[in-house]
Amino acid sequence: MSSGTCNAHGNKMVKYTANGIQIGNMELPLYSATFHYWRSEACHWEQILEQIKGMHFKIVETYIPWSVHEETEGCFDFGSKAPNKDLDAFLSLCEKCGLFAIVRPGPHINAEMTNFGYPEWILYDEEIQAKNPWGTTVIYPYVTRQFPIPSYASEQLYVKTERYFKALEPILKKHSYPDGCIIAIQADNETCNFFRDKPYIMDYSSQSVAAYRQFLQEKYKTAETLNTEYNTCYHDFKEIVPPEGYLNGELTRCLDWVEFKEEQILDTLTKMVGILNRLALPIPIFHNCAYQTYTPVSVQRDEKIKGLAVAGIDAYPEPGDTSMLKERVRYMAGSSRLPYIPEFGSGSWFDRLTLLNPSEEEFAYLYAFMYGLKAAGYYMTVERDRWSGCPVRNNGSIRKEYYTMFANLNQTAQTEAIFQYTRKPRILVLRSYEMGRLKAAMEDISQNTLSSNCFIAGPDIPPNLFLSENDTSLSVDTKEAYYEEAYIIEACKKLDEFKLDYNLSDCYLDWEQICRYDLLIASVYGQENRNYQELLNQFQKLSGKKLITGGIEALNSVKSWKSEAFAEWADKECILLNPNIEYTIHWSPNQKSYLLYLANIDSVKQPVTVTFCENRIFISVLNGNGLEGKGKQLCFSLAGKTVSIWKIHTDCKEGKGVSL
Amino acid sequence: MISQNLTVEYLHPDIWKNIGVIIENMHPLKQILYVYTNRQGTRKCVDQTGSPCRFETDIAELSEDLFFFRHPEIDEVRCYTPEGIQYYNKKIQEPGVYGISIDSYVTLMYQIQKDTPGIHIMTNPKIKYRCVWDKVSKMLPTHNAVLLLWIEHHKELFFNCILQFQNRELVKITTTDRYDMFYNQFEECRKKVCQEFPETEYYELKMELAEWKKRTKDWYYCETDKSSVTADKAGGSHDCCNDCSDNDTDAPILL
Repeated sequence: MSSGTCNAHGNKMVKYTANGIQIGNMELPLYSATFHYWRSEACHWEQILEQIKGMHFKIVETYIPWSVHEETEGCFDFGSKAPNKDLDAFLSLCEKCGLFAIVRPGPHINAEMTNFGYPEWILYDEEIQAKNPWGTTVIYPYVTRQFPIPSYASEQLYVKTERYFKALEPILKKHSYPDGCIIAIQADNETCNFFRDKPYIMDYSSQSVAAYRQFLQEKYKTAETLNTEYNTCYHDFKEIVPPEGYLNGELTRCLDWVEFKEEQILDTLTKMVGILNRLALPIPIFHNCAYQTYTPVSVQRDEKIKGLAVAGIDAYPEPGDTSMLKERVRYMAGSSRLPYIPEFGSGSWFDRLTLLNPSEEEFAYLYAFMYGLKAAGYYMTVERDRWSGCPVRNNGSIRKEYYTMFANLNQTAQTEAIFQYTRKPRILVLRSYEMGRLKAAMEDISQNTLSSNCFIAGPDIPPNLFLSENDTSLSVDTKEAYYEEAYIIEACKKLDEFKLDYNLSDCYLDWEQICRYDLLIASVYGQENRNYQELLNQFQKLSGKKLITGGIEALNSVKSWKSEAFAEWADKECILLNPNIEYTIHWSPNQKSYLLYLANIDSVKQPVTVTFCENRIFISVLNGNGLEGKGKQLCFSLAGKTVSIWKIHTDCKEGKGVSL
Repeated sequence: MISQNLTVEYLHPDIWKNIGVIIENMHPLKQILYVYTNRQGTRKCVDQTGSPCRFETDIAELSEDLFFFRHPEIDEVRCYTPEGIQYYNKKIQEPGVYGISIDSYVTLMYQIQKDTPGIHIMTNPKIKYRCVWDKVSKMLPTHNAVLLLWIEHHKELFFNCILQFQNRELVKITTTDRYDMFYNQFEECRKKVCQEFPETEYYELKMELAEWKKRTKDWYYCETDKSSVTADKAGGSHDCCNDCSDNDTDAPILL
């Protein structure tokens, strides 16, 4: 690494923090605007970048699609033939405009491109294709053309990816901070078998099966040990074939397959990070999970990969959504180093049934910030082929309502430095990752062949048709989705009802992180591994800490929980009674003030009365009708599906100049 | 029919947000029962949302006619065995499918389900077309053409799109957003479409939402094509541009 890339201690000059991104000595909030340079005429780039700046963005983000730059193997086009492929010129223009850049070279990119950014010569190479249990390829049916999915076990995939990245290297090096504008790079994209994440869909290619056998050998060491567990009589690991679906009496074998698939995702990401690491760019590497907070994906395990700084999870909420965002952001706040949505829906792909308007988008963004989101990549902020509903059109003109919403949002967020305020929930809810794994293992041959694409839906088969009937000898949660557990759902419902703030995570969370909380609510089913059980026991023994555990049989007891029993962990700062109003408190670094987020989750206007424990000075920051005042009560009306932010000073003397 | 290089651009958000309403009736099969009999012989039945249903006895005991007589709300029943589903999953992912268009692929998926031993499909006799592409692919032009679809709701623009076809393929989807401030003015947009696509035959289809819904619903439930939506070649208003042919007497049925 060149001397210009590190400080005196050898650390990279750009790094993620718990609040955003540190560039040199400056910590910035990580809010990026996605723009696909190759999808706009190069003559519009500057105007588009200026529009992005006009919305107070400081960071632009783009994919660098392989299929665009290496259409034919070995023939690269970085602008020599098509001006809109001139990546070097684009990044130079970002620098000229004073914008930082985040780049995402894939190899998987999706981006609503027919082959998800892979060149055809990669996808149609039989050596690289994933296989289903019946020996044919695995197809992803995208709306413009079905295509074969590459195998994560194919060494050729990594060799050819590295060749492409090597071709990118001079441009990436030239433009990496501090010499240039690039401040971060993403390793692959939503690595999880092209959304076909059910366990028995793939990959049964010879290379993948070899990796599976290797996994079993490392786990069991000898065939005899495996035979004892499986009740089989293999002489060699080479004889073992992967399961094609759940069969009674083969649970251990099926669980091993599910676990192997988790390892395969981790291994893929490790290899992709390794390729980027070998480029020795002086910038951090991150990853975005698609939507999974369950097998085969884990942000905590991703973040343990050497060289991977942060793993976020993407989000494309439906209009007015609260449940998905609340669950996902709380999970990230509880699990990731930086609660980050690298792709936060702005506009939508053309073949989706819904398209959010600016106020619906604002609600989604603020609601996510309310529950602890720190960083967001707004995907997309510039319209392009197969995407609509953005603040900037492909020709550089703007859509005023979307544009104004983003400009106001960013200005408020930056003026108030909201990224430096932090929620401090005292309660952590730990879900059972292993229960999700058990449910996955017990599936039959669900293929989820079609996506949620509204033009080609039709022959789909609901995946839960293939869920096995419960084996009565097993304690299996009643909810069918891997990430849902009846006990956890009821517990969270109660905490929400009591207006107690909490985070979510699972067994892969580090001990140090768990110890930040005072109350742990964990689901247990008797099948958890010993380390996890030990961890829960240790927590329980700590002074001032409490552990509540439960499972299927504890559902009724959760339903009878009373708020008084949780008074110890309740926020003492303020009281809100309206059930349609949710709130969270985000403390400033000096603890003398906080931001109060109030969300009206109902669709009609609601009265809001906040009763503080003591006199407070309160100033509306956003959607509070410009009100400000001092006292023990804050009363106002909040429009339906709106989030309001207030700055509250706990020391009333500090609020000089505030009109009452 | 759908080009793999399909361009989709300039979708006005206020127009495109209504795409769900426009295509609502274009998925003919709304109420579907899925029945799976696993290797142990256990039968499970869910509807299209994945919710469990209790129709197993009727499915097993009644003839198709009697079943749909008793359950007219059900559009289709799809019964699977492990062998059938395996064969189906294998066939729909064979290399031979790479080369066909996505709409042909979806149609093929329906067909393979129908033809596979171990899969039994029962379709309500009221359903004329099982797959949206069965119908649509037969209605669209086989020559180079452009269609302006314009749907109003109480005389206000509700939805529009411009579809461009070249060499039997749909190559472009766009809206009148491309005409900026004129995007909601029908006459202006008609002129501009004709100007922009001069070498292409122009068709238009303009109606109220209620009529659109009725007609698209009829596509799938009528025994004859009498209720088909017929597009006007050159919009029936040939003064919109000089390039439009005035030979409209034998205009093909487009929709």
